[in-house]
Amino acid sequence: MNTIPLPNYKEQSPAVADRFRRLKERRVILEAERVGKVFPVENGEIQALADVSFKAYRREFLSVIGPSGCGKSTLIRILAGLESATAGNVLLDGQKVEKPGPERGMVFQGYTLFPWLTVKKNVMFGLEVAGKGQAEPEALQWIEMVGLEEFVNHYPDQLSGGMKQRVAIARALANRPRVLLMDEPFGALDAQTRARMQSYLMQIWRNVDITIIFITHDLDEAVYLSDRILVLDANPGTVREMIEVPVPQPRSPKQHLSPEFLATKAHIESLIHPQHEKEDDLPIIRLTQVNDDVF
Amino acid sequence: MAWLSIQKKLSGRKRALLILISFLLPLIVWSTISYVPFLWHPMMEITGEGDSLYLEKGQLVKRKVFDQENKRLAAGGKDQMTGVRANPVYLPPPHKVFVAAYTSFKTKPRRPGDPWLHQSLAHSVKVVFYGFLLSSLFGVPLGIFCGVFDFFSKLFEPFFEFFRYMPAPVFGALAVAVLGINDSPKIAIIFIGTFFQQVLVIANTTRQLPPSLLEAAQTLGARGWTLLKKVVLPAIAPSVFLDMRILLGWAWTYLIVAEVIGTSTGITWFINQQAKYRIYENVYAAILMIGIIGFGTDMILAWIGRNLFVWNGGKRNGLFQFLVELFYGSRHETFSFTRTKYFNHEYDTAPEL
Repeated sequence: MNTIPLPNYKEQSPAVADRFRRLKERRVILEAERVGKVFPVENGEIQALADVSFKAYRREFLSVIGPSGCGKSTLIRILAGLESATAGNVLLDGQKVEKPGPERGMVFQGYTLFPWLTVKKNVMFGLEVAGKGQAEPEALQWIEMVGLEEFVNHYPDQLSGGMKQRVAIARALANRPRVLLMDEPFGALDAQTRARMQSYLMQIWRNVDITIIFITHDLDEAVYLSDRILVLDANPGTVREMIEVPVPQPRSPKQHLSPEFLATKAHIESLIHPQHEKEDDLPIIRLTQVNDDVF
Repeated sequence: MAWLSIQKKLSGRKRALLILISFLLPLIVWSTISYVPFLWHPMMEITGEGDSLYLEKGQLVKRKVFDQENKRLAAGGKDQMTGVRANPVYLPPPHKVFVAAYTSFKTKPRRPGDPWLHQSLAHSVKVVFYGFLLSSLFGVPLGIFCGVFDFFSKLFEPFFEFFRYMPAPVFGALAVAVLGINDSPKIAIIFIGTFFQQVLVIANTTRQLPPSLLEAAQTLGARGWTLLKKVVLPAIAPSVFLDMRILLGWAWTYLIVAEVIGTSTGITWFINQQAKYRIYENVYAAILMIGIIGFGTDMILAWIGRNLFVWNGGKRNGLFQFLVELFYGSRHETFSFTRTKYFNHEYDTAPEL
């Protein structure tokens, strides 16, 4: 279909190459060392993850993508400490982590705002747990940052899906985490809201010193947002490739059609959906006349 | 819109009308049977005794007996009785019951020293209150613990599941033997009837808590007691409140059994006493009062629930706000967007993108 020849996704412009060089000189914030996860099942066990290793650098935007069942949600839950790895280590600033903690903020796909708390109180939650004195003004700043200052006293039920996720981001960031883990945060949103949320997230990421690990199954989203993309294979989940996205920063929506963007997307597509695994045609019975003037 | 459409809510006016009818319908049936003379009315109230030797004016006899006696009198050439058709004494007409609902409060007890109606009612309310309070004091925390910790769940719930199949009233004799004949065994029966169900119901409610909320709270730094206090309790509060309303209804049911244990007291004593005197309108009035107290309490609790759990689809009412401010003082939230310079100094040293 594609008539215009695409460049190789590995070709980086000097500016982009320089940016990746500088990125990798920064401190490693989060590191996975040969992480593996085995789930016991009725007869035997299932290897969900095997030998997953990667490093996330300071202020990096790293996406994890892969076919369904590749264990990307399991991986992020292990990074968050909500599940424990059966092999390997997760290191935050060089320290091993095993339990969930406020230094690794998380935004879930489902809405997990506390429904009995107002927007403001939701954002204050982590600050109050930590016993910070200035919880309220700080929370209000974060709410302002996600543009919801008019809704501080609303309850989550009164907000749209996109607004809920913005509050969830503000709530996680208010703890000033080292890393923000996002598990398909925009998966339940409609296309327009999703695009708007991507642009909000880009703006937040530019203005806050935060490393983001972002799980998604949407190729466009991954290429558009990320510095690097970790592509996983399924059964068991293993690292297929770590891709450096050659699209220059800062990103803007019109880059969706740039050759580098399309090339990267095409490459990931070929990794996740190899040609030989194309679904077979469905055995549909023809219910229309052969001569019907449809096409 | 049609009146009958599957899974569709009716309009507000139609619903209000149906609610009204649901209360009016039994009343209409009752009134019809009472006031339409040719419907049912199996008895005769004798208005004139004629020459009858054994039937007197004011007596209520079966129509067959009345007819036979009149036939006998007619055959003997004597004066016949006169009478009107009437319902049995155990079915007084509505107006008598409504009048009795007022006069029974004003009527002096027949025997000196017996409680007045309002005293009987107060006694019943007291027994239910203490029984339910005692049960809740232990049952609610234990239920929540069972719902949160598998340890407590496995330690208590299997036995409670077994115990709740033994009806509370069967412990009546034991309760009297152990606790005497005052209010203690009555409170104990209500406790036994409520407590075990309460623990199981509240444990189940607690288990409904979505684990994702707990996980989110953990990634925000909450753990242990904080997690319990700041997430579990507020999250389950509306459901537990609803459970408590239902359980209070059960406690009222056990009251009637509890009140005949040892010495008969409270509203049950009043009802039995009035039935003995064959003043059935008082019996109906007292039964109605139990219904009104139970239903009224439930409505008030529902109203409080709606006001307490605004986030759960409730609405804060002006009166409730007034009462809260009366007891706690007004709490006006102040907003100040004072910049703490937090963004700047924290991120000055962050690397450029």
